[in-house]
Amino acid sequence: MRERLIRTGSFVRGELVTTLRQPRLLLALVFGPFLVLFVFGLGYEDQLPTLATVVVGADEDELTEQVDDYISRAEPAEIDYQGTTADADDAFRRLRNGDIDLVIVLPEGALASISASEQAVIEVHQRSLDPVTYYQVVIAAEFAINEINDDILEQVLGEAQEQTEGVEEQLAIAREELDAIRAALDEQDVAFVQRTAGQLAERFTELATTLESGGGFVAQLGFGGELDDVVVTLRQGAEQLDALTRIDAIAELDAAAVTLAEVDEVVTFVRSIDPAVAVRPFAADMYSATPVAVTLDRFYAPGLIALMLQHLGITFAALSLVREREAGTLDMLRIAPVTTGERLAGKSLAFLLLGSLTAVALTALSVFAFDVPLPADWLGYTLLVSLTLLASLGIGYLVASVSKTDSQAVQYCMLLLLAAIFFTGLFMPLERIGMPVEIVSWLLPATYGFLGLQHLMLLLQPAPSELSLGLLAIAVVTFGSARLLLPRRVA
Amino acid sequence: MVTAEAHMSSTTSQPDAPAEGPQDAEPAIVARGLRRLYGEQGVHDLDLEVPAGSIFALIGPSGSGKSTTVRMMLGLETPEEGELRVLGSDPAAFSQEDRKRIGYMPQSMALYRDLSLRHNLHFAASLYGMPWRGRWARSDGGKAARSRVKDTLAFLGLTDSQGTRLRDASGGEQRRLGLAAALIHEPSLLVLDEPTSGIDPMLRREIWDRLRELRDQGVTIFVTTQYVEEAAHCDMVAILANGEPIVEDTPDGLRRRAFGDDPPAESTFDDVFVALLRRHEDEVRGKETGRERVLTTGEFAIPPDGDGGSTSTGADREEDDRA
Repeated sequence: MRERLIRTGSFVRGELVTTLRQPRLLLALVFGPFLVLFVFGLGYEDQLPTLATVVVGADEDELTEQVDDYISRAEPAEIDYQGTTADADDAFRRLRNGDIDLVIVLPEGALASISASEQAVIEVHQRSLDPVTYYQVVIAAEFAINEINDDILEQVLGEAQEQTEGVEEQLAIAREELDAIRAALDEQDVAFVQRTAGQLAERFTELATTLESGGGFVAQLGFGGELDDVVVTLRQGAEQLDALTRIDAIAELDAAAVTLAEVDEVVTFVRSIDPAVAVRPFAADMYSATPVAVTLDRFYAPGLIALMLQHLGITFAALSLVREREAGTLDMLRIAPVTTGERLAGKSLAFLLLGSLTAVALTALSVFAFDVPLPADWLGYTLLVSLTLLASLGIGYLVASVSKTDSQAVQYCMLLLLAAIFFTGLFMPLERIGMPVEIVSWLLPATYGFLGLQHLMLLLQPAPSELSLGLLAIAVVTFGSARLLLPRRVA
Repeated sequence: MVTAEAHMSSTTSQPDAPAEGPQDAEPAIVARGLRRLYGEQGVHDLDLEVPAGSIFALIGPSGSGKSTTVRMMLGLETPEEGELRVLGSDPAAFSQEDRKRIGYMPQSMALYRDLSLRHNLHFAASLYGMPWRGRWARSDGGKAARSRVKDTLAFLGLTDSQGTRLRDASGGEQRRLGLAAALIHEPSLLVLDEPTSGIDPMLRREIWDRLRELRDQGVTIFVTTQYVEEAAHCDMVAILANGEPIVEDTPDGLRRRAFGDDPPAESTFDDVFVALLRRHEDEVRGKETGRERVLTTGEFAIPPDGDGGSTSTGADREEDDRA
């Protein structure tokens, strides 16, 4: 047993001293990734690119004017507005030439379509090769259309309020006339009643017309149901006043009073509401449930640590075995009383130690350079880092067992690094990777490391135990496979 | 097994003095009808008997099958046919104890290039259970190992360069370190695959001096070489050509086989080698053409051009040495 430990220890010390004697390698391992992140952070534009935009619409068209007015007034951050034009062909030529990025084509006769209960479709044309910019255009277009819709609604509602401005005055006169009729009835002054009732009937008709002209468009857009009812009631009231002398006058007067009260209530409501609130009744305020604000740097820092641990583990493990084979060391080791298990154990211990030191250095840099919080659970952090390294070492040994040469092993390591960038959630969220491709993500230790470090350093929670179990499973399978395959490769 | 003190304390012996009574002891290596072919290369019909406590050289041109023979002896390759016993065991089933009795020096540098010579030797020692003594973990075993490393470095003249990284060491230092790594655990059988290739004549002579010292202490040394004249340093020599042993004898015996009892006064081992090789080629050609011809010892004259195939001759050696 003692000799076994000595033999295993010889590999630990051999690999440690060999690596520590290459300070540039260590510096590149620790500082390299952070230098990349730092330079990326320096050059990264937080804002989306600005899109040179032209609006195509008919001259002197109401919608064209409204859109032009809206864009000029709102000045959306991602839009570099180049004005409107009626020449669609010219706009498209400029788009093809790359002079502009976006062409918005407004429909002809938009208001007529809306009046006919049909949506007016605004076309948005872009020519970017960048899918991110494409999605930016899609989102910006949807946002702009919503804004234009809201803007038009707001304007219409405001105009309706202006047009109903005289209604309150007319209502007051109508009430006075109603009281006068009621007094004439008490005095049985039939002539007065009939004359005044006729005037009141005309006033009701005027009120109905005013409300119709001011609120009709509002009603068409679905905001004026009650106004419609009131207009109908007013017209019925006018007819009833005409027939006042032929039927129960008192009852008709009561009905007319009720009608006036309804009109008053509705008009008061319509005039009291803020058009901006009416068209945008809800607003959103964003609150983050994460303990710290997750900036781009903070998001990428744990991912970078996981990525580097995987790369370090795989590369060191694979190259150490392949180089032994190429240099002839393996023959010497096969003749010595050393088993493959002792060799793998010794190398693994050395690389675990080196990898852990690298992880600590990377974590310290994350904390000090990018203000990432310290891990919430140090035991969990140690376990996660160790298992990520162990699983990566297992994959590295597997790579060595299927590689014939040094350069072949390097190629496999680079492929695995590329896979880690795409499939671990660093490039895009794991949720957006569908099955069965998602299996690739779960075969990479960096996926588990990234998720675990996000829990520990960004959510300040312990990492889920499933992550450790997953890493352990990868380690067991890869070490077992490498243990079986390595002697065969040598033979 | 030879002790460290014995290894390191003996003085240089007479160059050609044979070990006492190696023929009486059980042979360290016995091969009967060995065959291992890779296409047209490899070895076949190989019979060898390496006496314990002797220096046995396997000489042959490149591709003659020397390395294949060595690999079979070390258990790195399995023979397709034949029987092989090394230190009484089948190499394919070497136990850990068997492995501890064997020291191997490969052709290429097989240690850590970024470690110093001393660290590499410590590494080699710890592969055989000798603790790598550190500054913080001191023990008696570690002290003994450190002493052993120190003595071995001194034995091979590497004390002054012990701190040099292997990648920065000269070719001679690297070969000597390889020999040191093979010796560090005091083996009873030392297998050296072309230990003197690519090094200068002075150093080559030093290495042979050390090997003779080890032989005198009872270590069996099996060595392959392309340098024919090195046969003079050995107790027994086998010549391999095209994967087939053509002759196995003492250096004097080889000389007699080539030139009879009265060899030319100025004949070298290059001449012996060429003569034997030519005779073998004629035998092969004779068999191929159906002309069975019985060749007798002393039938050959020294070839005028001294050409011995790809194996280094005396002229080549001189050129190498000058280089």
